[in-house]
Amino acid sequence: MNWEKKVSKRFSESSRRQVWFSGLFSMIGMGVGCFAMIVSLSVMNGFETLVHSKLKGFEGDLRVSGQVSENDISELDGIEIVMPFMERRGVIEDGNDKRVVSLKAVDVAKMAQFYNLPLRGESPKISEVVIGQDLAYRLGKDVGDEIMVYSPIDQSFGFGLTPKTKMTISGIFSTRILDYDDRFVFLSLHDGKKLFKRKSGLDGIDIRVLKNINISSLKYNLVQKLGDSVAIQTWEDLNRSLVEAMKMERLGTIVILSLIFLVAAFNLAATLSLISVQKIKEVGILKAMGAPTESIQKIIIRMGFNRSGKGAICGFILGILLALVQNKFGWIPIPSDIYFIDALPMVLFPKDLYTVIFISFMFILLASFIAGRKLAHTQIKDALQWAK
Amino acid sequence: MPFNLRLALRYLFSPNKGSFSSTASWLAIGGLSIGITALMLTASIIHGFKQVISEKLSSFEGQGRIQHILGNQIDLTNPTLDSLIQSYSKSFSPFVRGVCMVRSGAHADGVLIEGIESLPKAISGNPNNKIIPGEIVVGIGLAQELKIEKGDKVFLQVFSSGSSSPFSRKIKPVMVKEVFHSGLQEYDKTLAYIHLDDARDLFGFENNFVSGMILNDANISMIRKEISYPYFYESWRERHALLFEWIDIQRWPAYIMFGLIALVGIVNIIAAIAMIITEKSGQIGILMAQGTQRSTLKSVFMIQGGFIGLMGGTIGGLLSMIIIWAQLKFEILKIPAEIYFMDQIPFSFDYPAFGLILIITFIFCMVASWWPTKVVTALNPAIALGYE
Repeated sequence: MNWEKKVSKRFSESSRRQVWFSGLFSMIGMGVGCFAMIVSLSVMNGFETLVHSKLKGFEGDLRVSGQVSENDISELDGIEIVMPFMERRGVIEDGNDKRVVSLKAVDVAKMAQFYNLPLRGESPKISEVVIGQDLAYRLGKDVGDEIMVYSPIDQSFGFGLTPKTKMTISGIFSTRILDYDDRFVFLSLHDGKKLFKRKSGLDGIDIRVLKNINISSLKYNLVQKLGDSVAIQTWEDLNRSLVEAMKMERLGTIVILSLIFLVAAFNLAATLSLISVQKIKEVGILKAMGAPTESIQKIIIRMGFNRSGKGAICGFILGILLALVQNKFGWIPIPSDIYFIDALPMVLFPKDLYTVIFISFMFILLASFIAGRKLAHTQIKDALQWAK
Repeated sequence: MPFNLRLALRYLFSPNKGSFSSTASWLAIGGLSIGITALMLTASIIHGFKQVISEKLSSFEGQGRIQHILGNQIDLTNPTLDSLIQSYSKSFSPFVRGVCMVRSGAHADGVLIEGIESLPKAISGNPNNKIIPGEIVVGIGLAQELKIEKGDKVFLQVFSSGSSSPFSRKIKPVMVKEVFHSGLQEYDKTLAYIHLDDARDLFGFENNFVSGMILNDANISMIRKEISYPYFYESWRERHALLFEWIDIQRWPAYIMFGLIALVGIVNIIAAIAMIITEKSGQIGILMAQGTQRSTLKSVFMIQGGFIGLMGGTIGGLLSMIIIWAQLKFEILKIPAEIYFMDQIPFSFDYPAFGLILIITFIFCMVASWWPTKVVTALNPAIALGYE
């Protein structure tokens, strides 16, 4: 045992009861900080993972827009399945009620395999559509009902009846992301080609990649193969602002919750400076015996970690436990009509754990460094004079 | 100056350089003010968010709307409505609502058209700004999608109902008079205003018929009683009830998280007072031996706790006021408008909540400083002096 460790232990033990007591408080402060940070980060991760998987389930991992052939792409390595699509603003109509929607014509044979949609009913066949839950609710329609679908952009300005197609609702999906449930209508490519007369071909191809494939390297391969005539976007590019907003929220949370650490660090600094006041005589003697300034500094820092570090680790472990328990049993409910799931999702990434530990230890180090600096630099003469 | 106050002030502003009790007090004040700032900013954002949403919604939708229960056209000469309109003629304005397609070159999009006589305050800044036939006012989101600017010409195209003749399909050229930016995606992307008569023409309304009436005066609350089947009155708050419910649910986790910062700040006060008592136990012993009442000594530390509370409240309050003011004035913190409903963090001065936060934290401060003073009661002068 090196002597600094020994002295720091002696200093802690010999402090009066109330100093020990307030040391407990600095433990509590750091613990609360760690706990709050772990819990809120894991909740944010939970929501984020949920939204990401839903977005990917809805759009695939990569989108190639432009005139390309399906076979060109499916030859590449790492691709699980491709989905050609055509997309157009269109109208669906039921009596007097009209809604402007995004009509998305897709290869219906692959639909169940490609999309990860909670679907009530079946994938559309010829002259059938799948609509979102909110849209169905607003129109008062259910599976099996009929609606009119048409695409005003594709009609000419001349006279003549709008080409409308009567279609049956074969299923209703519910994604609960943004306004998708109100906006999208799926139909078969066959119907799409008939409706979108002015379109000459596919709008693009959505790609779902195999697990463990690096999306950006695949994107690079695709660019090499297809050239510059087509646009290739990952799902993150497509939902740039949502992804950015979530990153920003996470940063905001970390910054704001670091304030708990800051306040707890104030407490630690106060506790340590009390100990400094009380032990100034001993420090004077140690210095007189030749202890270097750094050693005194080390002793104080060690004491800081001894108190607050323990608290931080306790809070850390409690937070992780809460996340595990919640995932297992789902004790904390949330209203499912607003957030689309019943239990609060909690996901922890190793990266976040490191961040929390790093931030809390930085604050402890800083507080004990500042509190100990004065003591470490006390002149021997002054220190011994102080002693009564 | 009473004795206990003088002693408390001496402990706070000690003439000794590096006095522990004043350092600890100021650290506690710092921690508390950070906590109070965090809580106040939270309250301010929640209030501001609600306020911005309320202002925008009410300005775009009027205080409320009278509509037919089945969404049918309303005849203004109808006797039941006529008397109502006669008596409050100034606060009503008629509107015609419908969905149509806007086209500009190759771009087209579906919009919600609202035919009115004067533009909402939020757009024109002036309540009497008239819109004249042949003009359209669109949201910025729509303008970007269609790549149109002020002064451009666009075509409105109505989807004809199935039964009508081919000639009934209306196409109306209009000029973009203004592009508005509400910050609410729902409006910026889907709403467009044209003149009432244009809208009647476009959607096939007769001269005396409208979709409903907008109520602009907040004070006529009895209107609800006077309206009977088949008409109904709906305020903007009822229309968007789910949104407000969402805000109310989001509020509590935020208060709890930021309350934790204040909580740690209050724990700091307990620790600080306890440490000050420990440090001063020699002096307390002397004072007791000289016959000072225990209650007087207790009150010294209570005054110190109260001072910490007051200072923390003042500094925290001022800090948050400055932050809110700076944000309102210079709009420093921006957020993506596509995900949230607005483009910057909506701070506002929520004085009742601020007052409540200050009062509650002050009460907690007093309790927190009262608790450690119990030690004073148990202190034995002989033992206290023996430590010295």
